Amino acid sequence: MLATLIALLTLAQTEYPQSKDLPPANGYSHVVATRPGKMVFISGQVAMNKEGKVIGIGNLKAQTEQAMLNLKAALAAAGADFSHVVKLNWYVKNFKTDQLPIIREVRARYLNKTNPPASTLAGVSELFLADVLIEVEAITVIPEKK
Amino acid sequence: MSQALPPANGYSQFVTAQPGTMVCVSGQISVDQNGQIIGEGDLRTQTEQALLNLKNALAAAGATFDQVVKINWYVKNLQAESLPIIREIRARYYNQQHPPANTLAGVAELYPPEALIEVEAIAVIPNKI
Repeated sequence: MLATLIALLTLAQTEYPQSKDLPPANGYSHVVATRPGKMVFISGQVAMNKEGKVIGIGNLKAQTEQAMLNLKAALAAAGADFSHVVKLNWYVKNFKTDQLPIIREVRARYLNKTNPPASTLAGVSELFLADVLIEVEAITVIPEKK
Repeated sequence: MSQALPPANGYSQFVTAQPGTMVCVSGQISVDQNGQIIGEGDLRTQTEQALLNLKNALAAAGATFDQVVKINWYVKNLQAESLPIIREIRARYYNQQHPPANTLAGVAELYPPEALIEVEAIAVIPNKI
């Protein structure tokens, strides 16, 4: 009985609390709360292939797609997937509001629709290579197996 | 504190936290519940409202500013004059004895274009023993 109660109390590894004081969030969550687990920090991923060559020159959609694919591969290397991602940070060169639908459309195909991670996006003046248009990093928590 | 580090004005150079519930809050900007920008062209008002939204987001997860370990600021058109304004307002929210670790960067653009400042945070709620 006690064991069941404890199990119930510790059930939700990650929660997505809502706040009526905040505006709606489009394709991300305002707040993500997660219990201790194995933290995985993934460096900013860009649209580079395995050979280190930037692909999708001048093409934000292609670059967003490849960056997400690289992020997926990085997650897999750590034994995680997108459901474990709690936080994303986006850095976009030459950011304009009309680029948002492009980014949102691509990321929606990777993220959990009901409970997406927390996310912050900033328009930046430069990224580490002149052809790189977008960079995305992730904080991930893999639940501890009991 | 480390003698190898320069003084930190209104924040901590590092913060440690034991495992607990980690709360990640997305970047908050100066909007009302309907998503309307408050304080167009006014950094002071926008900093105030962004921090208020951050406070509400933390509260939704049962967290307070005392539990915030890390804050990131993104400031459009960052000037030297911006800093005293930001510091003054954040001081009213941060725990003064143990302020969070803090990074601030000037950025080219935010969404929506009227947003001058964006602030995100990570908090850790201690495990109840």
